[in-house]
Amino acid sequence: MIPKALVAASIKPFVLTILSEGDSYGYAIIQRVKTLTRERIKWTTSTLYPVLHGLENKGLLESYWQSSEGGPRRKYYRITAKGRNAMQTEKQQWLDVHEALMQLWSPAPGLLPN
Amino acid sequence: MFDLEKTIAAWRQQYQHRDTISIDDLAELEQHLRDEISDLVSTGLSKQAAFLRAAKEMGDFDSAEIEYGKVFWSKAKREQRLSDAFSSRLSMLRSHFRIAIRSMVKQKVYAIINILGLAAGLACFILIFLFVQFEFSYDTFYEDVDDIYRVTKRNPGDVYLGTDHFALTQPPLASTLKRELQEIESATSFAYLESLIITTEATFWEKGLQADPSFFHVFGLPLAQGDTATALSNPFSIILTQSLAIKLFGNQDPLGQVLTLDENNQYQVTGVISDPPSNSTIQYTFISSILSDEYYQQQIANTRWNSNYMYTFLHLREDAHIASVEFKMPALVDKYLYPEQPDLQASDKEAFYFQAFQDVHLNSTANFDLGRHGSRTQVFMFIAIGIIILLLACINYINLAIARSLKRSQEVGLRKTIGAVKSQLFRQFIGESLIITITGMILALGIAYLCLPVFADVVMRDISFSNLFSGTFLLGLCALAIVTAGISGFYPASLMASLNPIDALKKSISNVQRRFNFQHVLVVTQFTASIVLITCGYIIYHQLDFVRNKEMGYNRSQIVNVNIHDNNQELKEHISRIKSSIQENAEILAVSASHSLPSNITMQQTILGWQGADEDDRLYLHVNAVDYNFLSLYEIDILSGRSFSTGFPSDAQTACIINQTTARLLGWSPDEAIGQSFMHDDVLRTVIGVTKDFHLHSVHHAIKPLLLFIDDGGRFDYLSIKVAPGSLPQSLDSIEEIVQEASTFPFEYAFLDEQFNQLYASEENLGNTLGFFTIIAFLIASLGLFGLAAFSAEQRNKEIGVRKILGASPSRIAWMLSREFSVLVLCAALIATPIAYIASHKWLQTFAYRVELTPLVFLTTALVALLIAQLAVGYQAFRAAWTNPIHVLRD
Repeated sequence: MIPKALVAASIKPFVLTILSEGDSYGYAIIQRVKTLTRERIKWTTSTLYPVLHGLENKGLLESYWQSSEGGPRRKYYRITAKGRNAMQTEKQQWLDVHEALMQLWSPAPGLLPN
Repeated sequence: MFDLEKTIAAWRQQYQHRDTISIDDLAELEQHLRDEISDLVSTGLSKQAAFLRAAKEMGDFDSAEIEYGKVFWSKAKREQRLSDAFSSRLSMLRSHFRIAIRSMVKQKVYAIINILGLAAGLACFILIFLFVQFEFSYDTFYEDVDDIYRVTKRNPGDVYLGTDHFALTQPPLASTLKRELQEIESATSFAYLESLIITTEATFWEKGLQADPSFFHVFGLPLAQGDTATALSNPFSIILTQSLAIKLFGNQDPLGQVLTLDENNQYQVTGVISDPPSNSTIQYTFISSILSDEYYQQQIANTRWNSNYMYTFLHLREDAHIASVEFKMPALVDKYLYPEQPDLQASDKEAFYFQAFQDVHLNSTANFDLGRHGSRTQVFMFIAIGIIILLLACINYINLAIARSLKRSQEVGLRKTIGAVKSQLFRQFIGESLIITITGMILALGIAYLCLPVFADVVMRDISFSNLFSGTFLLGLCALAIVTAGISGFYPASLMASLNPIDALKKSISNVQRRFNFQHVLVVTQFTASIVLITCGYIIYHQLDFVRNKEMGYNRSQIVNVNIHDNNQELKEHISRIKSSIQENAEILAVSASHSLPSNITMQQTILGWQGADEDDRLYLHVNAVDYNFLSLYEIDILSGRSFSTGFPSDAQTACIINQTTARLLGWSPDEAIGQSFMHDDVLRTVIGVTKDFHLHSVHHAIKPLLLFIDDGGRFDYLSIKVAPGSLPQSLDSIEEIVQEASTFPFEYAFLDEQFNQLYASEENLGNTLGFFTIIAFLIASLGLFGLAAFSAEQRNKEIGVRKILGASPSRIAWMLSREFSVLVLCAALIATPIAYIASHKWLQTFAYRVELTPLVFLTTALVALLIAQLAVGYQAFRAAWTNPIHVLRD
């Protein structure tokens, strides 16, 4: 199980990145993250929706109501230009941390076990 | 049985009416729930189980509400901020206002200095604006003023008062232009006519016009009563202005009334016109038909082009251009003026010029021009002075605000620490300058209102304050206040707003030196402007003084001049009898009649045929028709020969007296000139005397050649009477009695001294106006210096205390404080001197005789400026020097 703090920290890059692939709605985003993490991250509604609304307030997202192919009306979110910038920043930060950790975790070439 | 819809409705109810969850949010959550349920159902769960699991996964209400709440409040705050922006700005404005008033009350001297300075500057600006507006408004009230042109002409060789350009043209000009040029819609000519108007009730001396019937076609003026098409068509018709109509006939209908002009002609009133406004170049109280004038009729009938006495105006067709008229003019001149001299050089021919009517007031160089003229140079000079004085006042504000910023830096620091941002502080300080400016503006309006009558008198314009209360002017005033507040407030405001709060609270004065240098530059600017003004003003007074005390070559004291009107035949016929009856009075020292007064000789004629002259040689000179007493009454010196005398009968016919300049131009010494002869006005004249040169006009002009001859009375315009000192009132009474016995014309007289001063009236006005503005400029600059010195003394009070304890004397300390300001004023004097020199040198060029510009003049004004600065600084310096050091060091 991934600890709460890490889950909370990863919401923003997840949401921005998923929306950068195309407009989507809350339920689909949760499902997508669930699949990607092999069910190790399962957001509740009270986790995701306030974040979506918060990002919308900050102008990183826009929302609109739409029904897909005769289905029920859902509230879709779309990433803005400002949101894409924020996503790049997030990405860089995660990669920096990731790269640093990887250097520590990869054993020096001469010490590789046979 | 489980009903999914009912269950979802119940679920929904739990979330409803929560403050933080909107309907939109709830709809989103509901759809989420439904998606989850349908997914779970598709994996095989029952609807009921699916609902329970989905609802559980969505989390409990409380945590959801907290999370939603976080977002909600930030959203709410933002909306609140937007809706409150207006009212918060309003309350900010109130607070700025309150702070500004408080700071003004706390620093009364500072506020008073600023308000007074700005009020004085703005008052000057308003007065100058009114004057400038008035000058530019001349003749703009005619409907088609853009199509109205005035004709002037050049008379080659006829140079009078420095120019051969004249405003007077020939009577046939107007009708000829109209007939020959299709560009011209109508043309009119008119002349001034001063007339004695006699009704059964009373007699009035009025100044009017004689105009031809096209007058109204050209100017498009409406009549209050009567028909413009016919009012001047017949001889002996007259149009009265409304005020004259009331003066003559009271409440009676003036139309059709008959009145007598100049005793012998009966005129019928055919119209009433409203009085010409004061910004009209053409002024009159009546317009009579020029067809009543026989001389005009002859000139027109014979198309004679030899008499110039009329003003000609034309109205261009709307689609025509004046250039095409100008192009066709030379051919017309050849056709009408020089039909038998086709080979004459263009420079020897008369030439006509067309000037837009609107330009006449400010651009007139022609002799004998209409109306009372303005000067474009003077208008622009006034504008410059107005701006300079306003800038002086703004500089005061800037300087004092910078000085005070040292004291206020703590206030700024504190404000910044508790969260004021730069733009807020900037607005606050700009707001302060706006409040001070508006207060100053209100005061300025009051000052301008009180000063306007005096100012209007000095600039000789009928300016009224009512012009102020037009919409555009009030708008202009607002703009002026904002611009003034902006100029004076911008630098101090940005300076204070950008203070670093820590430095400010620490009372750091690291920037003081730099700021002080900027203040020095501003003070030098102020004093430079003031010194330039005072120097120019002083030089104008100096020159006027020089003019008044210059030996004119004749004595102008105790001389009364009685006007003899052209048509006053009775007086002219009986002139010798009148002269001798005046002479009988014991208080009368001498009596003389002449055409011109020695202060302004107006007649010019030519002489020819002197010994040694070629056939074509002509000398164009000033002439004056005089009597036997002229030279002795005016105490004009005779260099050689003798004065006119009744003992020589030929004196009345063929004698003449010339001045030194004439003799010199003809190549004679004063002694050689005696007995020479030449032709003048078809008379062979013999020179019997040569006078010492005296000034024939104002000293703007060099002394010209002159010829004096005896006349029997027909040409006399003035009766000059020299009165014994101290007996003027009785003498005047008896003179009036004698003159009025022989004349029905009103008794008009003037003192030669005053007429002489009249020659320099415009210079005197310039001097007075400049003097007035100089005083204001110095007042403002000194106020600023006074305030600055106060701050400087206050800032250095600890230093002064220590110095005193160490034994510095008060006078030494006073000197220390005033020294730096003296240096500034001296710098200003150095910069001002070349500027003032160039300006006054240019002005003095308009005089043929002028004062020398000596270094002493500039030294004197620099000293005066220094003295004024010392007075402003001195009080502060001495106060600081005499303060007990214990008081300042104890703090």
